[in-house]
Amino acid sequence: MRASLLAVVGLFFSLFVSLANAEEGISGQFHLIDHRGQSVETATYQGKIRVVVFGYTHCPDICPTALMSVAEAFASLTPGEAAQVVPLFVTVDPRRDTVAHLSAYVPLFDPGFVGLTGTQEMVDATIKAFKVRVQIHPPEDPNQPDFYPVDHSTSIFIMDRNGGFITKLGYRAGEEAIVTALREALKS
Amino acid sequence: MNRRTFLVRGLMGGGIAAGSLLVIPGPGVAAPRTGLVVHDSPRPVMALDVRDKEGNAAGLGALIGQAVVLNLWASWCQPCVTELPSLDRLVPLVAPDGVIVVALCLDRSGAIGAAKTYTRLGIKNLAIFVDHDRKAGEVFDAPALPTTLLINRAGAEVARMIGPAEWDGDAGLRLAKALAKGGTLPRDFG
Repeated sequence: MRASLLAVVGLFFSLFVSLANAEEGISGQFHLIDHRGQSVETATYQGKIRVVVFGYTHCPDICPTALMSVAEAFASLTPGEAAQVVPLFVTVDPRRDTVAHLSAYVPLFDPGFVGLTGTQEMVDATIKAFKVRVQIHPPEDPNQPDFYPVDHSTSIFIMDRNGGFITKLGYRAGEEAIVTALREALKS
Repeated sequence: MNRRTFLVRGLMGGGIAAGSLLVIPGPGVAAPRTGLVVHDSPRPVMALDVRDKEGNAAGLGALIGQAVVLNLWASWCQPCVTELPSLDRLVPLVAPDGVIVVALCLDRSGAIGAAKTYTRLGIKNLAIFVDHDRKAGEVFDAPALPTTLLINRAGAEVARMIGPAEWDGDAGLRLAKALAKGGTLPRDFG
């Protein structure tokens, strides 16, 4: 009986370790261009908790409200807390989401938001570093080469003051859940 | 396979994608679908702090007794902005039937941002309403925009459209008029 119990505990421990190892694959490292045209990297935000959302601005049919939830959560923090947090929106579609485009887009959510783009190689490396899945589809109408859908995962990443992974929330996470996660991260 | 079919298939397939959403469902998490969803039974509409363009309270409670097409939109959402003119054209077409069209703006900039978008689009009939606390997505369980709630005269949600629609087209008119009559709604949009 005791052996069975130990085996079950061992199984759960193995599962826990394998899940933890899966998350360890998220390095959170990046080198990109922000919406003001400045070159930025993971170390640029040293000391700040980062809340990172991947997406693109040309949503063809529906647009997720995750970025809005992050904006509301950011606005709910005290000024002292907000000063220690930076919300980052990383485009998965750098061809259309240029610096100029992002500079008009991200302030619609909050003046403190940072939009990040770059060359396709820079964005690809970031996508890989966060283990985000992205699939860019060809244009449905050859006469409209700029109208193409992009599928991507939509987690909200909470990263620590060094840019390391803490946790990720689902795209439906509301303001409250994001605030809770940020306040927990701020304790570090 | 058209675009909408792809989206629905993708979302319902578990782990994929709405042209901007790749949803990895967790416990108790249902992926959104696009298109018209007619509910099996009416759902209560939760209270929300809605304001008019002057900032006065304009809650939906005041509209009970009328059929309401309630559209959730934001100026950063291109499909929403593309859809707004058709909602604007719908207003005079269904007003004689007692249908009120409410376009609720979720912008942080509130009425100012909504007014700018209306001016840019030449909106003539829609009034400005704003989601004062920006809670509409959460309150109405709408994780994607645009989402349009169809609310019966008793103030209950009977259907919703997820994604944009040509509201002043035949299908949109048929739906709005059926809502006004309180009868069975068509289950497909098209």
